[in-house]
Amino acid sequence: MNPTQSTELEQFIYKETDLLDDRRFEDWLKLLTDDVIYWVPNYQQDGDPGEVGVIVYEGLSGLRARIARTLHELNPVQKPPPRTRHFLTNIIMSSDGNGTAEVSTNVLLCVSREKRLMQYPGKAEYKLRKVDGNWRISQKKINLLSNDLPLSQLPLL
Amino acid sequence: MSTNGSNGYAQLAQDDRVHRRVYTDPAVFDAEMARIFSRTWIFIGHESEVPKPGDFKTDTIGKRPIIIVRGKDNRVRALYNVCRHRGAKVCYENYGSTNTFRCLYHGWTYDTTGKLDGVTLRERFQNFNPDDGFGLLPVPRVESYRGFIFASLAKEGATLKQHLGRGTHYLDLMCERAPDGEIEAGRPIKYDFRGNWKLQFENYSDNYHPAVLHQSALEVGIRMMREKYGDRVFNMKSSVSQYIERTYAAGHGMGDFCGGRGAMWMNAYTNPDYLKALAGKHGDNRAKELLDMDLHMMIYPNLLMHTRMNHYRVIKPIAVDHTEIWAYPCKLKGAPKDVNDTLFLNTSHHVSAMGEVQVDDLQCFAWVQEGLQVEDMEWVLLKLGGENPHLNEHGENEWTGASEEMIRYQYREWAKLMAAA
Repeated sequence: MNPTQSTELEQFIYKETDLLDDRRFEDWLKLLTDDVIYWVPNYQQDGDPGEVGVIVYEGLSGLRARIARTLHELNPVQKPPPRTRHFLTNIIMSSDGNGTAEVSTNVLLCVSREKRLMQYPGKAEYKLRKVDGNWRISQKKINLLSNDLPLSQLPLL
Repeated sequence: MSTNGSNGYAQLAQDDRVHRRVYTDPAVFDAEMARIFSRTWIFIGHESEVPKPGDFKTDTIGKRPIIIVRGKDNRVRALYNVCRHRGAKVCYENYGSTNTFRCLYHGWTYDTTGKLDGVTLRERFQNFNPDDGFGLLPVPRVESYRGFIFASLAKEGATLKQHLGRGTHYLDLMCERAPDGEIEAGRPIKYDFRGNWKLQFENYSDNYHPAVLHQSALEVGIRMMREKYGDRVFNMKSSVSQYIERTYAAGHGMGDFCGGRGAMWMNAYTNPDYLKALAGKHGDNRAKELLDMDLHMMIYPNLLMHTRMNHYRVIKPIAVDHTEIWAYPCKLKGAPKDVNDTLFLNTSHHVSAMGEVQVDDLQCFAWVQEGLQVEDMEWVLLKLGGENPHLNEHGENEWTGASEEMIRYQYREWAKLMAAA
């Protein structure tokens, strides 16, 4: 992979998580392919959804519903809304040079809400595809380090 | 009011109100752990989690580590996970299969029935006979019904069947939609909240709150779930006017939504092979009833079951203001994979930490816990009555409409257990 493309992919995921942290959810949706899979495994790394359930496994319509709920004025979990920051590191990239790429990164999500700061470390794995010349996410899987521990309410990861 | 005597605690729960201290006082919590969770029947697991001899699962009853293990004799036991030598745990995995539990401190070994069968340097132990009751300590009483395993730390008391009463019928209903008549528990989806354990039990018994607390989920849900699930969305049949509640036996209860809910979830029951198998087993009419069945079922004090999404939740009190819930999605044994996959997704999307509904409740529990720090807010009200209350043909108290009757009934059991010396 040439340095230009590395920088481009790295910048892409930095911007993607920045949109979530800035609560620009409608813009975030535009980064997804129509057949996107958003997956947060439960209980173990890459846990099989049919054996151990999931924290989330959904496509674009499910994500649209999620964002509509997030922005609904009567959503209890948004009173007040969480403030979040994603920290990305250990980024590893590969590309087939044919319009698809894979990027993995360690993530630390910090969530401040109701007098508490929560931290959720994990690893995010992206499958990316060029659509009309722009990188789009066809899969985002987030393996939380603590997905076998009790979790409270989580924002979009 | 003194709560040092036995009767003091019981006075905190009156007929249509309970004192804030039942949610906020650490002394009340400690008494609950001793008088409720260390005495009555507590749900601890499902036999499908340990399907073969040697299979085990570790868990806790309160702070006590336990092993639920299917022995080489095929009997399922609950044993305390503590070596009889110096007190270290002997089983370290969450789930697994083994011939032997070997303590990694000094190497004592136990077989899968709990029997001590190896003591390192045995010949130099003094005044010691390993056959003299030094196996892994059994949890005093363990009984199962339809694979649901309950334990009681009291050496004597009501049998599980006496405790469950009509609950056996509702546990049957959890199994009847399975072509093979059994459910298989998956792995837990765990979440916690900063509130008292009873808030979850009461919330599950309360059909007064959903239209308000879950308004955002319901409004978005009905619109967006149709888009998300297309023609596989359950259709909403009616309003909550068709809604029945019942209480029975030792604090238990259930709410029957009479097939009236649905647009929140994907229909798991569209596979023709599954529908045929169920109709073949139960007949067309009964099969249809089972597929429409939508019940909240509660076995006091720590088991909640959801028929439509086919999961159960186990309440694990941690502290007076901290509770864990472990929700187990369940397969219908003998059903095609796509049916079970859909049930797992429905459960996950309903209850998980990024779920569509339960997160609202968890938020509200924390608000209640904080609100009840106000000493002047002395009494929590439970005054919403049901319509047409009567005793039904099965001896259950029954009425229609959302109410706080089930919560009152739970507190009658609570007061009885808390008053016992």
